[in-house]
Amino acid sequence: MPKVISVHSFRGGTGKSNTTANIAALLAEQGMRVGVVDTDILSPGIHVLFGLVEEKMVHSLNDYLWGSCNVEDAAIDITANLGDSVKGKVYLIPSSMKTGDIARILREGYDVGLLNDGYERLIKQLNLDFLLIDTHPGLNEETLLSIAISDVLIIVMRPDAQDFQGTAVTVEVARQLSVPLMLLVVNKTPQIFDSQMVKKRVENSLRCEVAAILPHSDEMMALASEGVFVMKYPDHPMVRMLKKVLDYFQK
Amino acid sequence: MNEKLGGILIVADSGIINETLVQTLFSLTQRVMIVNEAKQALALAEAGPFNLVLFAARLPDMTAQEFLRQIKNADSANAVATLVIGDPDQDVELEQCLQAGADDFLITPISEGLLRARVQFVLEHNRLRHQHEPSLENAELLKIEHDIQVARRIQAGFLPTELPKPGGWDVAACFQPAREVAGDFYDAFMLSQNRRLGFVIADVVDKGVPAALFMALVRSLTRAFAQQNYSINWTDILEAGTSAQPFTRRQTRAIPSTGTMALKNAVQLTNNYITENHMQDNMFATLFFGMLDPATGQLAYINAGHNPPVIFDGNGNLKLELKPTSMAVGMMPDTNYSIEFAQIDPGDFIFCYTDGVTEARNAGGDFFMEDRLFELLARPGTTARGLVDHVYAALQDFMTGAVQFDDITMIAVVRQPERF
Repeated sequence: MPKVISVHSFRGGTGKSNTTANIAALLAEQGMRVGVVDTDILSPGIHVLFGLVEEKMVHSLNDYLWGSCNVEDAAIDITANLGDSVKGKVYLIPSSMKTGDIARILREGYDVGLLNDGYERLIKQLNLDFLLIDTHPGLNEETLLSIAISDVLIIVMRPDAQDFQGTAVTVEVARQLSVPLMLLVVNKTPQIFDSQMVKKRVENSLRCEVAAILPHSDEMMALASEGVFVMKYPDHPMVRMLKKVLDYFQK
Repeated sequence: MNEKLGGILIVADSGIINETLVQTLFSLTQRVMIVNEAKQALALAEAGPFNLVLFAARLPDMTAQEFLRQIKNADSANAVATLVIGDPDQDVELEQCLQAGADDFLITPISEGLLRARVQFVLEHNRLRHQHEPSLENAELLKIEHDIQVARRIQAGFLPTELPKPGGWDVAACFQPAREVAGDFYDAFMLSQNRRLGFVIADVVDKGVPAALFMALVRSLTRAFAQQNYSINWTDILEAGTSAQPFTRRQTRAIPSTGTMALKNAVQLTNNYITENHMQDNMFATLFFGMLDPATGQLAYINAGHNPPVIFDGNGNLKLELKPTSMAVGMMPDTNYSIEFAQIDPGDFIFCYTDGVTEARNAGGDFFMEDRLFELLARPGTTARGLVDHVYAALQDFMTGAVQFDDITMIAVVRQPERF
């Protein structure tokens, strides 16, 4: 059964897109066929991690929403950009980076129902094992819809008071929407923190499974979004931690 | 002179109008009535109008002026001529009567020739006056008639001039108001960037102008709301303080798919607007809104109290009646309009109609009824136009010699059979 995984964070800058890209790469490395949809239409970015240059974007998710193409026509096979070790496939459905396109979304809106049907069609047309949805931070309609139809929701947060409060909101929403599996990933944890203590504290306050406590990483910062971390540093201890996240929904 | 209703009414004693004079008047008209008292005269005038009232300047039971005022009041058509008769010494009363609107006067003693001449003159004058100047009432009626014709043209503009026909589909409609303007309407338009065909049929309670005004409102609101990408309340469960059950994942219908938000917006927001702004008018509309995916034949719909549209298959069998899913639009504030689904396969068609079809009556007072309609619909392989025309021809045939009581509206959406 193909699975839909939404990756969300209540606030920006948590490492949501990086987490999405890394999970996609790890799944593809195992031979899975993975689709990644950038529903962060107002502030797209995940295409940068996959090394996709704007000129290669023939179609985007926006074109699908405006009826000028089918959703699978906007999918770009970016497997080659990940390296030779990848046996599966990664398709990216990017959002447009054109100012006019972003403005049009703000001005006209779009039928959010198209996303639901688009996800379904992508899974079928591209024969996907996993569909990953990179969401817009905070709560908006496409985020709510994506959460509502997901089999797995991964919420990325930093061990920070602002993130704690915001994540509590997302957790509550996901409970109301009865998401079958909800996982927290605590990211950018300062090295001086005791990760077991952090895990306990987060689980106690949010009453939700913590799948990984990822340390702040200078290598990740130095990479500066120019590539997918797990592919560049396959032996980094963080890769092992991220692989553990996969175990939660691959059992 | 109108011999049926007209005639001459005399209010005077025989000292003023003697037998000879009465005979003279009879030579002018077949109906001459003579009373002594003003009250008797008024009672007669109330029962049926006269062309001319001849009255004495002095009456036993009221002043001539008052009598004149009342007789004119009773004469709603403003058609009666009045002639006052007085003695030579009654010039004050005569003057007062002329000022109060009497057409002319006669002074006693009255000669036969003078009476004939004066009566003929007054009647002729009155007749000409009415011929050249239409009465206020007639002018008013003409104005209303003109306005209604304009309204009819404007209302026709509320109906789509052209119906969309996505590939593999055929759409046709029929609209026949019972009066100049109607409370029914139909609509069809493409939505979600041509990915969905929206079609509507609705029936506003009541007929004529009030219903037509309301029809214009409902049609405009449904069309406008359907074309907006508003967020809708499928996420209501998230609102603080609601005691709603957590979302069950089996409720997949609550999650919007293409076009379903437009569908829900159209009906729910229209209902909200009407119940917030027009509740006191006690107007409501039954409405069916279908949202069709032309690629797959999947139909999402809301039936707000409308008589069930029917789906027939390619063999002429009735497959499904799309029964009401909720109350009519405009009845109850905050009505939740849930969406239902149906499938239209190749060769199938959906036929929507208003109750003016099934409740059409023949000269004997019998209703057309569903059975007759369904029998007509069981004709596989026809076009949408053919279907609608076939039903309308049968209706016209049925209603021969009878009055059309209600607006007749139909819309047929046919899925063409697959070609192999």
